[in-house]
Amino acid sequence: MTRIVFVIFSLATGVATYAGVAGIGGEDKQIANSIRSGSGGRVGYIGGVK
Amino acid sequence: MIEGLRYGWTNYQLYSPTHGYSWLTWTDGHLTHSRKTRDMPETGGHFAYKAPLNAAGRSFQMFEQYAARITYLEGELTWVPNLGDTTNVIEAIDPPYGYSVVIGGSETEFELTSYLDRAQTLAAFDVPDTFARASTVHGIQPFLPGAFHTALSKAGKWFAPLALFLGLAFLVTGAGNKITETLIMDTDRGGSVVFPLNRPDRLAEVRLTANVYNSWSWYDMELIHEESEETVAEFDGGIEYYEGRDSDGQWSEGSQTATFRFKPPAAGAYRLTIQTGDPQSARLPVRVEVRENVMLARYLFGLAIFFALCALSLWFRRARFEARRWGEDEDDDDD
Repeated sequence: MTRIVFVIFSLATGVATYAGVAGIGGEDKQIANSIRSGSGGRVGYIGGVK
Repeated sequence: MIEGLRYGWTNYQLYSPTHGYSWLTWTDGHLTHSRKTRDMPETGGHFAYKAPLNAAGRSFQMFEQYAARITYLEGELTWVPNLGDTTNVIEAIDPPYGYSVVIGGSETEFELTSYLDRAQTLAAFDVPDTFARASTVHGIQPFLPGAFHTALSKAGKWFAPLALFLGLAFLVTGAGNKITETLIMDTDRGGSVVFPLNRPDRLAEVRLTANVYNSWSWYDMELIHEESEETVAEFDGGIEYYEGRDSDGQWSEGSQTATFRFKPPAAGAYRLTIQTGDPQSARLPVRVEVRENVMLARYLFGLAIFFALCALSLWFRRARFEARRWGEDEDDDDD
């Protein structure tokens, strides 16, 4: 059981390290959507301003 | 009878030609084995909750005292008991062992008890285990975590520091490489900055800094691929910062920096144009900084917290088990 948990934890650490290096999930949504849409069109505001 | 509540148990007298007489006790699904001992306690004579009691070479803790009364009798015994016979008992524990001082009308006896594995014991007596599971923690029941929880705790102790170390390393080195930095003085007129991005598989970051104070500024930005002159993305964002003092003291809100992260669709040179995006926006010089190869520490920190909880899970389980043993747990309705 210990070996299995160690393997799972190793994999989780590896995935988290890769995600951190690749910046997965760190993209600004507005820019990512704009890049994906290909039009360069503005798709929304970031946050709110007083 | 303990604190006005009535509890029941069954004693079975055992005999061994080599070991003499002893008692097997069934209490709410728990099995214990007791025998009389001549090892008297070093001190004591009266009960004090959780007070130490040294006897039989062990350090016990006083657990409970109660009046034991015989309510049922069957078979042959080594003494002549009567229904209603009552003794006062002081129990002390050092799991998986217990020590009892049994004070009768004319004599005081001492008993050493050990907790038994229920499955093994019933199997030894060839009794099928069709009885209900124990719903309580017995006073001398040892804490025996399962293989899964033991493994989880052990692995957590190794991996929590590892994930924390990696997270801190990412925090220190994850700010990436500064590609360029420029100051745009007149954001109404707008400005631009050209920079190369060589790693489309990594995060790039645009950081805007303006000295806004109790105000806000808003910018329209455009990211253009230099070679193709194509607009890759249009986006906007603001910087806001407020501070003041009220009855609770000094407060502040917002930041004088705004960060935008993205993955460039391809390697190459890019131009970022920036301009005031709202007529009511504050007009202040804005510093634009572009970084590449930005890394995120959040996943590793999250994992470090999870691993730490895994490492501590055994401690929490043990604490809860002990609380249930001592009757100090409010929730005493599961295992």
